[in-house]
Amino acid sequence: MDSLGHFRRRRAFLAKSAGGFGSLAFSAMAGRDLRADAGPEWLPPDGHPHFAPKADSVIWVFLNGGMSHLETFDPKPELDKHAGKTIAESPYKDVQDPKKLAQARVTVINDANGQQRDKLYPTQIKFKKRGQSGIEVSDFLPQVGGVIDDLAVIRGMWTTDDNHGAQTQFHSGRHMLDGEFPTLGAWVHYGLGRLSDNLPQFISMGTREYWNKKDGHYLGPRHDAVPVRVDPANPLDFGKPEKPLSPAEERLVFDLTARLDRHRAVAEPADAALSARLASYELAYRMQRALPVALDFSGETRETQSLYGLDRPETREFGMQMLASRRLVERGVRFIQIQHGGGGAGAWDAHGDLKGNHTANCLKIDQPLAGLVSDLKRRGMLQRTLVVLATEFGRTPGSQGGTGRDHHIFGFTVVMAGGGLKAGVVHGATDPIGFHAVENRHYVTDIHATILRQMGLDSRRLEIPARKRLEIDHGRAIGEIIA
Amino acid sequence: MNCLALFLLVTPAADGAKSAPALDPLVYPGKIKPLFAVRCLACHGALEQKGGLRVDTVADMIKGGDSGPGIIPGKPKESPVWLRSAGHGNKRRMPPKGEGEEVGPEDLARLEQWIASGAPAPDREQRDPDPREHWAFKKPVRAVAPFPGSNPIDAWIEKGWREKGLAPRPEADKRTLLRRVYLDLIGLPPTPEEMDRFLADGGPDAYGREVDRLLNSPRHAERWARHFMDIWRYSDWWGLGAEVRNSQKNIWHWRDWIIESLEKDLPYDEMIRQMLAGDELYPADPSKLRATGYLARQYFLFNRTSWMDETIEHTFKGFLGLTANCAKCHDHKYDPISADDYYRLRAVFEPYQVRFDAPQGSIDPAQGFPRAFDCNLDKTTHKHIRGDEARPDTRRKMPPASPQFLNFATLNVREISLPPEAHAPETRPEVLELFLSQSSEALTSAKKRQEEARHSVIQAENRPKAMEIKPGRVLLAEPFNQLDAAIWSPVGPGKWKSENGAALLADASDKRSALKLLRPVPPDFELTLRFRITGGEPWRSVGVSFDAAPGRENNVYVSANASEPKLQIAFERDSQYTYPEAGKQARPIALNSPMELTIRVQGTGVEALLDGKPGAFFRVPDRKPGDLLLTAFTATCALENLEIRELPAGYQSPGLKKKLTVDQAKARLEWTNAEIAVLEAEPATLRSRYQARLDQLTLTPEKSKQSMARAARHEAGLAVLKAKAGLAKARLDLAMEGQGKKTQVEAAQKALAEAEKKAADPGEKFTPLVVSAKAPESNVESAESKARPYPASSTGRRAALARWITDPNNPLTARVAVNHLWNRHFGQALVPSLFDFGRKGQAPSHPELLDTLAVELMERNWSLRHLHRLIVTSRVYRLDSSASQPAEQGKDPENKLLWRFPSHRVEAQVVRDALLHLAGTLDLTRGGPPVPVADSSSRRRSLYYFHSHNEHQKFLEQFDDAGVLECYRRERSIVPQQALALTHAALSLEAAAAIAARLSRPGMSDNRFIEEAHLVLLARSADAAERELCAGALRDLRAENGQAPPESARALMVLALLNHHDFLTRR
Repeated sequence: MDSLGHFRRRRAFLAKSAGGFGSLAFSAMAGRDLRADAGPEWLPPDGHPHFAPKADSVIWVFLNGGMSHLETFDPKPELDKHAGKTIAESPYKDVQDPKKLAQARVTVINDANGQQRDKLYPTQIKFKKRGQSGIEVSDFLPQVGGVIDDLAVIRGMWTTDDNHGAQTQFHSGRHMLDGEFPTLGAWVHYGLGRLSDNLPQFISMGTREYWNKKDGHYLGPRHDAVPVRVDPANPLDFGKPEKPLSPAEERLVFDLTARLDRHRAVAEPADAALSARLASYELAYRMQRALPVALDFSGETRETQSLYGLDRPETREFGMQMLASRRLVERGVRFIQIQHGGGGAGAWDAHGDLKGNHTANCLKIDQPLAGLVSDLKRRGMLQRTLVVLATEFGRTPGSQGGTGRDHHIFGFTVVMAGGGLKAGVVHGATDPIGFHAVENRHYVTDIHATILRQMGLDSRRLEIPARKRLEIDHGRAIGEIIA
Repeated sequence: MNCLALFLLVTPAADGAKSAPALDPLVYPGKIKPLFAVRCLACHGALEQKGGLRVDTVADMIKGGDSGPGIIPGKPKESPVWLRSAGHGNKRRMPPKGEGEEVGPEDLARLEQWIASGAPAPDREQRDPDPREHWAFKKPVRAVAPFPGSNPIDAWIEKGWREKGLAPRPEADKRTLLRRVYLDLIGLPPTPEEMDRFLADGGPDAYGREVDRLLNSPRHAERWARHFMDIWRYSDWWGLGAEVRNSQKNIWHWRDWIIESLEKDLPYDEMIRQMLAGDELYPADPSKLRATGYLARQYFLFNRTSWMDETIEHTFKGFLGLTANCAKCHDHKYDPISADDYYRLRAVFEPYQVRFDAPQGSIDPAQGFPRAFDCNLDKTTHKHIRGDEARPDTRRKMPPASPQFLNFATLNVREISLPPEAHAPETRPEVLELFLSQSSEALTSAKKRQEEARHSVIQAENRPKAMEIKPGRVLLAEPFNQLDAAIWSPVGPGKWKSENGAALLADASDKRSALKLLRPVPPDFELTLRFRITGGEPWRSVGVSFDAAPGRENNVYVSANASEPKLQIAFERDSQYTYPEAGKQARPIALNSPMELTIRVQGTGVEALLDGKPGAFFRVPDRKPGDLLLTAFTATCALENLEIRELPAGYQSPGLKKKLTVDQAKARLEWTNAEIAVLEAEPATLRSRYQARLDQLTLTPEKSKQSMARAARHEAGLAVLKAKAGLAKARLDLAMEGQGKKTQVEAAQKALAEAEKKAADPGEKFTPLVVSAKAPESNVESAESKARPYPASSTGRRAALARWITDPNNPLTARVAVNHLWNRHFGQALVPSLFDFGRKGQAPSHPELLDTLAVELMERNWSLRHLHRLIVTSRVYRLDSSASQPAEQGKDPENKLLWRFPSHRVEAQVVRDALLHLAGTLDLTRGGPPVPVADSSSRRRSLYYFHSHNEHQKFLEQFDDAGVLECYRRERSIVPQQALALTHAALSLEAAAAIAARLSRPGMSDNRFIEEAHLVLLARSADAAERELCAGALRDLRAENGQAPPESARALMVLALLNHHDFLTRR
């Protein structure tokens, strides 16, 4: 009706000015982020990958608080065998050699947590060999175990912050005491062009109370993740009018501004900020329509919904985030960052009652995560989508307070899938009690490097002047797990 | 050349000149020299020549250092430069581990090839200049202006134009210019009246008069305060939960100091001195002490080194444009700042800590302003080996000193002895009076409570014994044998029918289905509904709504939702539903099983019981009469029976206070009596404590002994009275809450016995009054350190540094200040690397201009206002901003030489403030505690919002609000969220309506309205095309929303203009 008429008129206007201003706006839109006032000396990346990418998008799941590697992906029968002994009494006392512990960089002096726990604590759950690969996964994660042949399990991770600042460290590669640095998602956003003109390219879901809600840092706020709620009625801040304003009225307002600015651009063709603003209206208008559609699951079959656990109260919330992630990737979102488990320093922070804690938390993620992997696979999307399951650190082989485990930075596990990685493989290992990563050790930025490599980016070429990064910031791609 | 380089790489390494292939002459300047620059020059260049070797020229390398030549042309494998880079031989690899990346194989091969081919050098290769000769490290001088003119700025700008053959834009039209200077100087656009005044003033200096008016406005101080808050990293506190980890509470006192200082045009050098050392220079002046909030801001609970590092980094970047932070782990790679220098700077700050002094007229440190003071005078500073905190070099103590290379002056450190009121603020004259008056107020209110207690004893004694609770009279009994249309009216989509003695709703809807009761119900009532939930998805909620009216109601319902079955008390106000946690009770609810929901409403108290079991109690915000409905939401149900009764006689909401028994009332009276005894004895104790502290500081120990003993005696006596009051309170709790409190009574008795024992021998130890509190020095501070009195002197180190920074011979301070000011006025700086004036920084676009302004600033007593005036009255500032001048666009597309005014997007604060200002709703209240970020309805100026690392005001955040960790330059991104915020935020929608209403006059035509709106919002007339577009939009909008009043279309047109690029741009 009238709305369509208007839309057609607007299109016609744009078409008419093709080669004039409209086309400039469109080309700016099709490019990467819009930069109004780039410095003269140096230009940011042009949005093209540095080499042929193997993956287009990342679904980055982060378990706040620290998932125990010992009760999920890294079985340690020796722990059960020596349970109750102190580490010094066990055959593995050399793990506490001060030289081997020197990597820890303490943020909170004399903190009650983040200590070495002496008394070995038995594994709180049984493991089983699963899939064709026979990789062992604990009974906390039977569904994830069911897709183990699609996963790469990286068991030799280490980090340096013995407190939850390791959450930011995992995302930026730098210890909290070094300051704040861009996170991986921000680098990807900064380095790569858009896959969609309708959606933000870097989205954050879930809770990240413990750390600052910024990502871009010195790359600038335009590279911060856009926080999105899985709620089609109100998906993002200012995503819908806070006072009565009908869709038709709103369209007319957007239209008028765009036409006035386009008219202005005829007189000011050299004003780059103006062209950037024009493009941003277009995107804003499309974004607020596209996002609710992407988050509306009514078109998903009942079978798919239950694959993600939407039909069960325990799995519903995370399942909705996983399903939303698939739908967003389908629509061309680059990087989706999901923080699971809010409250305090993170839901997974099992200083006490580890068994109860991980029973409940694993239950929440198991079905949805496995559902995501199998759904991506059957839709042929897993090849081009990297799925990552990470956490800030593992948990101590020794017990804290008799029922829990403390923060553990010397060895832990990260799991990845898709995006051109090998499937059904284990890479790296911790020692027999799961204390130190001893084989194929990897610092957190090696995960970043692996992802960037699959996305066709060279982090050294992304570096910006006056912000020299350290060797370790760049990390090294884990070639062994790349297919 | 690329082919050749590739060829070189694949050629097997050859030893000896004979077999060397032809070498590309560009390999040395293009590849090898830059490699040396990054890996070697820090130690072997102009700055330093370790081992006597420098590698900035080939000649120097051949000449070599203490141990012979660095390279032997033709013989790479005998050349130490190659050997050391390759890590061959028994000598240490270069660069040493930890000081630079290894030279990679490609570079090594290239280096080898180059040496093998004879190490050809370019003609007349020059050594790098001595860094001490770097322009920014030499004192600025005022150069003779190339063209005489009234404003020195324009002469230097014009020089740039002439050299490049640029024709500047003409002067901007008056409206644009006025809007520009308003946004710049006060952060608000001109009102139509202000615009008219300017346009009507044909005088030769109309503009100058406007500038003066603006510069003298308090709005100017607020606008520019935000600028300095960016640079000085203003931040409210943040941490985890209630724990302060960064910055400090009440830091806004420093913000107010910044605003007041700018308003007074306090000289910039004096501002620096007060911020870095107000406590040493003006120890007894609380108003100046607020300035040291700058140092309180640097606070970090967990790690002193991080705290010190940030203090050094940003003091040097912000005031001096030096990246001293780079010298933390090793000597600075580009500037002559050594790692030793770095730790000498740390020694300047090492003794300081943060404390809170109660503000004037208050004795509460929690209300105090955070300020710096030297706390640990003897704390030594050691260099951290390679910047590793765990490896201090304890052999050497680092003394406080300024960086050695800036040798115009050294730090003149003199210890400062502090007056008693500075280190013992509890001895300030007004303190005793304040304590006494607080005590007397407490006594007055205690006496009031005593009177009430007496009264309740009498009441309790005369009250008749409570009667049995009887059910109230039945007002309505509804067995649902039929649905009488005179009693029930269906509301919403569902169809209700009566069947087998129940009202059935067979179809579930996501719109609510309800039965409205057509009979009146009294405000207080009891209701019991028997029903079953029979199906639906997903919420399956059935219950009662009362006080129902459009947009508001109160609800009690049972939800058989699969994941969260519950009983819930909720309410709707202004069409917003609230489901309070306190009004919720999780209950297993099965489909098809009969339930009985009982609701008791008394005043605002709502009690809900399910199947006779107590459920939830919640107090709704308020009550207004309305309808009663039985409701079903995404549910089907069978309602079986309903009874509405009066409340049982004597019913009391569980939330109401119980009436006291005689014993309870008496116990309460006892307690108030005991409290009064405490308060009556308090003044004497306060006086003696005050006096004892004063005597302790001013008299000999012998003489002060007597008053200390008296204070101790008073305190001990008061402690006994307090213990008695504690016992009375424990007895009251026992009477109120029963035997569970018995142990508390016993504990209180024990405490009383101890207090009495102490009172028998009080000694001489007394507690001074407390009006100040130190922030924890770290998360593990010892009790002893916490209790230590403040030192009676200060090291004077920070005062010395502040004097050094503001020394007129310091080459950097004034230049950096000028550059910051220029950056905010023009949206681009003279030195683009705002915080780095060192050798790695960028060169000034107009060096003589920068220096002239720096000298001007210092010679005019560091008056920022003088500089502002000079800048905004210059010709270049008044130029038109259009970029449409192809010749100039071609020669200087970046507009570095300012042939036009560089238009730019306004800051976040300006966007929000301008909306409110034009709407006429801006609240100009000044200063005070910050507005919480959640309060989006506040109309205060944006700089008053709470602003921290963790809390961001949502609207401001969309427009690149200042980062608190570092913000030398605002980002000016253009992202879609900005368009969404400007179109959807209540702020914009309300502003658009208010602006349209203010612009409209009776009988005003659309054309007139369009014109006025353009003038006010964009400071220019609408042209024909714009008029046509707006008029068309108004027509379409009216067609779209038919019945809406015509103004609403105009409001939406204004909304579109608020999104206009020109509205968001300072043209």
